Amino acid sequence: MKMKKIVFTLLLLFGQLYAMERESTLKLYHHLFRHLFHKEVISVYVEDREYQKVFASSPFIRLVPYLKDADFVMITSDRVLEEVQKRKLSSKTILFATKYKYLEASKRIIGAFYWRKSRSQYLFLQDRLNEHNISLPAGYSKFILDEL
Amino acid sequence: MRKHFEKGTILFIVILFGIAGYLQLSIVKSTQKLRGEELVKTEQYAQKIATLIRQKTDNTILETLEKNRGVREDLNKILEAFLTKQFIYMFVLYQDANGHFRFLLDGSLKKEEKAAFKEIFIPKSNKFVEAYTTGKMQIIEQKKVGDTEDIWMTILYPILVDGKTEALLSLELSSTYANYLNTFNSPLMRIVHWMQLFLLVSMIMLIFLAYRYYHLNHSLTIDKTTAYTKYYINNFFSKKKITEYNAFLVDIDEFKDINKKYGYAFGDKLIKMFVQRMKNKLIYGSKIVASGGAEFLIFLPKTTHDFKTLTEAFYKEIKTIPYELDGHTLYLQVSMSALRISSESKLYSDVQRVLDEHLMLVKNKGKNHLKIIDDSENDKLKYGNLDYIKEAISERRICCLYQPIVDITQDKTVKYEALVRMIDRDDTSKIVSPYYFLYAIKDTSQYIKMSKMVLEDVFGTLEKYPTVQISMNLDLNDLYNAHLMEMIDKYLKKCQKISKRITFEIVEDRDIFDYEKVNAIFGQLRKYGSKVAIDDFGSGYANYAYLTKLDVDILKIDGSLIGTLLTFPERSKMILHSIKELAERLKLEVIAEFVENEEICEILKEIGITYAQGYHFGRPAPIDHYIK
Repeated sequence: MKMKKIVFTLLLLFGQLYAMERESTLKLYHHLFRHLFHKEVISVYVEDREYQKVFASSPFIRLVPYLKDADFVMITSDRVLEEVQKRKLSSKTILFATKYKYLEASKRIIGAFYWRKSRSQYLFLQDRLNEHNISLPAGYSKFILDEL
Repeated sequence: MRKHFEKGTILFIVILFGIAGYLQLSIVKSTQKLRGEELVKTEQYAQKIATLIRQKTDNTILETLEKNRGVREDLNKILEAFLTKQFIYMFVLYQDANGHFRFLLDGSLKKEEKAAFKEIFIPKSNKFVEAYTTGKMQIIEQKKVGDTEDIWMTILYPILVDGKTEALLSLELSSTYANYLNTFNSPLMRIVHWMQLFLLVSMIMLIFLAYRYYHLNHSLTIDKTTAYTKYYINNFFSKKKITEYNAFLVDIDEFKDINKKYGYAFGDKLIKMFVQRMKNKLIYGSKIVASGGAEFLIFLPKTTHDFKTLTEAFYKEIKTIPYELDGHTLYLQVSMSALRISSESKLYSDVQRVLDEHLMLVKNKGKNHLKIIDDSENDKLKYGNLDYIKEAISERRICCLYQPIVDITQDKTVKYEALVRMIDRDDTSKIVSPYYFLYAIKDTSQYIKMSKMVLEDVFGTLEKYPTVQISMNLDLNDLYNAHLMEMIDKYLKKCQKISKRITFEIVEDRDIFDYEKVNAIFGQLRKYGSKVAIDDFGSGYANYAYLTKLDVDILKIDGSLIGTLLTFPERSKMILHSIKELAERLKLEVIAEFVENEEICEILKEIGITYAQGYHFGRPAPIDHYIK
């Protein structure tokens, strides 16, 4: 009985660590959404399974299956980038990338969150934010670049 | 034994901790040495790479790399070549006019990991800026948890041209490599890890055992009423002296009725409340022991406060203030006995016995009452102690005193009753009555030893004084004691002439059911001419029925019948007359006990009783006192 308790506690501990990582990612996006939109629930289009799992647990995010329904599109692959470029999305739809190269590929993408040399990289481009009339609070200033 | 084991265990664990600590320190030193060596090597690599970059770009690093894609690719390949399992990342940055770091070169092998030329890089550490601005190599020890957990150390090597930082070479040693280096310490580390594991398991087990011990001890020491258990108090008094305490015995009267009326759950709660109230009222250091049902034995440390006042206040508090529980208001009836424990008491069980006896008296007299036991009862504690009696027997502090039995018609002593006494250990002038000690040794080997001493004394006296007659007491139970009877028989047989001068007074504390056997034993006693008397005739078990079935020689009239001669003279005389006449018809002698004055003696003469015994004729004393 006691052994079961110990195993259960260890599982809970590992699960907790995993949950903490997901929690911090979700927190980052929640924070961003709060400044990008004035809505309670944000419609997000994301193809990546991992991101889907992370977002699915949020009461403030609604995952949508079509690009046209999304407030926020995450460019996680070349295919999504192509789709976005092909379709005429609403100017209100905000595009966000998970790779640096997509930032270079499309000027509609306002920023990106990705990993480089084991370090998280969080970037926004000032001119692209301006185009969407987005002004981020001072806390974001160190992540905002004038140019790529 | 247990203490030695505990000390040994603690010493063993301390030694293991010491060894583990020493080995850990050795590993730390060895790791630091390896780290230092790696840093030196890495710096040498960095120098070589930096020189190569400078050479390939003719000291115009940014400009050349911007313009010449071929040089860029060549240098990237060189960096790739340096990427072994030692280095996880190797890249070159420069700081743009806005202060942002951007990639110039990246030695990553995988395409998706490779940063684009001039791709922005946001470092987490300020050391990048520091290395760039100061032109001095910086080392970043990466955290073992978080984003950079796969990096062990980052070495930031500024590439200087004319003393100015043109680019920053970053060499990142992998955690895998750190682990690989640690394998050099692995045999030692394995030992340390096993020791640490062992210590950890030991500690967990010790904590677990301590936890179990606490629970077990708690369940053994604390009763469900929240009072202490007898187990606890036994242990407690094996370390503490009982003489430092006074004691109460408290019992809630008719608690069964409360349980019956309100239920057991209510009863349990009430009893806890009762215990709590006692705790609140008792002085610090008091011990409340659950001694069964709703009875509690309390030991309270002696203080300068008056015992009687303290006891009465306590009794009042627990009894007179109502108990409010579950919407009911109850006034409890409480019986209590209290004892000031003397400095000579030893056993808590003796204290409990005295308290018990007095609580029983309280209960017999209608309950709901407090009895503060007289200090003289402490003698019972002292002299009732088996060890004390044992010591007295072994030191032959057991003796017989003799009280004369007088023929009142001739005013002449005809016999003496031998009465057993114990001499106090510390004060030899103090003679202790059997009331205090006889009960304690009943049914023990000490009783036989004592009986033997009495027999020796009696037979010795009879031998010394050839005209003297002596009567001695025998308990009914003594008659059934084969060992004792054998001993008496041996004495009687051995000294047959003397035997004729002995009377055995039989005292009963219970009814006789097998008269045949008792008669047979009487026959055995009378075989050598001794007489048998029934003691305390007319009271308790010694009644007329005996006379129909037992073959005796003498009736000793119970003292209570003599005592009433002055208070209820007419009826008492009538009863004594009838006993005397009956005895005459049965040809039995009659002896009146407890004759304390001349007035009683005269009445007895009037009635026609010949023999009498009591303080009027003499108190129990050594035989020499009466026979000069």
